[in-house]
Amino acid sequence: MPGIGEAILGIINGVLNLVNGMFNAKNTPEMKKAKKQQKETDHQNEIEKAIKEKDLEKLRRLLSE
Amino acid sequence: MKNFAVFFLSSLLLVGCATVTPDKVIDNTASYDASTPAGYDNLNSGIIGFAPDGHGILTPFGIERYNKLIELYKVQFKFAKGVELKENAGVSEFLDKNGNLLYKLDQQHLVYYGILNSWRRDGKDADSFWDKAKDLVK
Repeated sequence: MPGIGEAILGIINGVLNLVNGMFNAKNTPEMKKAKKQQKETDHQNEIEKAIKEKDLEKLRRLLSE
Repeated sequence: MKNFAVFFLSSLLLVGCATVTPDKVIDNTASYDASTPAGYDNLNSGIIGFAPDGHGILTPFGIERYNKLIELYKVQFKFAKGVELKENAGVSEFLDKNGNLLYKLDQQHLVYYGILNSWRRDGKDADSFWDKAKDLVK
């Protein structure tokens, strides 16, 4: 019986390691920075598009306080 | 076994709980501008419209806010975008058909204004003492 208990604990440990590995892979500082930069770029593109298309309402929303 | 199954499935669900970068804050309405001359909608976020050359036409408060943002983020903007902004950069005076004094802001600086404004709305800290010191050293 102790063998079964150890096996179960081993499986749980393996699952937790897997989860932890996947979680860390999604949250490396580089990935967080890249995501943030991508959002900045998207926002800048949105502003440029509003100016190019002379979309006053959209620009006002983007420039609101 | 049932408990283990619940635990296993819960663990898998946690994988989806990675940190999410929040989207940029964008209001649904323009902000009120008390310096808007009569005859214009004063819910304009400081921008009256576009000149024929594509430049933005801004109210006095709009330009004041633009300059304030430059003051807050001048150094960080320089590091992030490689552009050194100075007070009234890209600004020129503009008289409307009723003789009201307004200001034109060129398209490039209008984009910079939008970026600076998004930084402030996202709660980004203003240039620190160390940012300024680094800028002086470089």
